[in-house]
Amino acid sequence: MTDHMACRQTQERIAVLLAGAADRRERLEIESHTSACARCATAYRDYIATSVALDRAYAPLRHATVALSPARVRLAMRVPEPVPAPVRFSRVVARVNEFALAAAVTAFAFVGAGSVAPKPAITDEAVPTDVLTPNMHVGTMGDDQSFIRWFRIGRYATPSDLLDPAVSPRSLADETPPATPERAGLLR
Amino acid sequence: MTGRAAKKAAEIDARTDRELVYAAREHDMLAFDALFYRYKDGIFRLGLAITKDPSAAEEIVVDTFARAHRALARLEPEGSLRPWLYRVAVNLSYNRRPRKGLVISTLEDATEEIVQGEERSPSRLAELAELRRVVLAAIDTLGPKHKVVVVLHYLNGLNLAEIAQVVDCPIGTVKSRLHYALRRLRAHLAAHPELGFEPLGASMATPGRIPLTAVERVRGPQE
Ligand SMILES: [Zn+2]
Repeated sequence: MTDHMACRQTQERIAVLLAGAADRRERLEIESHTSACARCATAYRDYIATSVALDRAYAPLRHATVALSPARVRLAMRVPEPVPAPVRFSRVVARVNEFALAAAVTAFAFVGAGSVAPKPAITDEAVPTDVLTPNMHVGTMGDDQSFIRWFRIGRYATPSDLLDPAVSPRSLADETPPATPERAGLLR
Repeated sequence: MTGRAAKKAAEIDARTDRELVYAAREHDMLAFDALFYRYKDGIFRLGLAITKDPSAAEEIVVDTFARAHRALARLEPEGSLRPWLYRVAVNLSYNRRPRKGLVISTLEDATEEIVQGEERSPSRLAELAELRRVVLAAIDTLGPKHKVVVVLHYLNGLNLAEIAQVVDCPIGTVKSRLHYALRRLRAHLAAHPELGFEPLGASMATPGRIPLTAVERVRGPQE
């Protein structure tokens, strides 16, 4: 091996040594060569200085951090965000609540409305039904119907008073003149 | 991050890259997030050192992980996923159109770590900032193949075997590139004796054993 080749090889080994990748044998060879070669001894010192300078130049950058979230990656890829477990649970609870509310509204519509709506007419199998029959009140009214009527005439009246819209409530008959249907609010 | 999410992230963090990749493949988003948090800063620094543009470096982080996500089914990391991620980041960094006139060196940056235990006078800080600017400018004179080796080793702390994986070439080639880079930088920086370069005439006459403490100053104790 010529001197030039030996120097070149030694200087490459020095670079490797400074990178922490030289084994013991390579280290001994470097020491052996540099103890006899002024040029490589200088290179050794200068490579150390270069390495220190590089280390220092990058020192501030070595602590640089970036405030990025993986959401940015998902946004870039149009991947939906994962839902954390507690949020998933609260969504289930919300769904159950929605369902319960919907069920309650439905139940009210079927059951509650039935109690408020006019009771079916007293059935007489012989009487033929026509389209008006369900809206005709033949029997006595329940309290709920009285209550609705009370809303319309402005006072609570007994069912019998309400059977004939033209008749004013009996309790007021002695003191006040008979109410006209217009005043009672039963005619529109 | 909530306490529960932080706890979950900590649990995931203990897993190897390979385990996280396999979990992410099964649509475990938190596993993918753990990989992201593990490597985002290193990729950011790498992108910043090459592009000198913080917003470009951020985009490189996002693009690198977007590619990783798309490649999940194919990824088979033996140990660390870092070489694969860094290779993507290096390619993305060099494929970007460079913006002119960007310099990452600032006086404020230089004050942080460099002067620990040293005099912190304004003139000393200015001197350090100037030296740093000189060194970074010298690094910029290197071609991409050599600069990447320098950045990956001196900034990102990768060893030569890992660098060989990143740049996809034999370790012998990495050694040659590192040596070439040091030789070029030495030539550039020799004009600055304040960086520690001996005057040429003086040192030529003094061959001898280099104290290993000098090496340890750079790389830490060897073996
Ligand atoms: Zn020599």
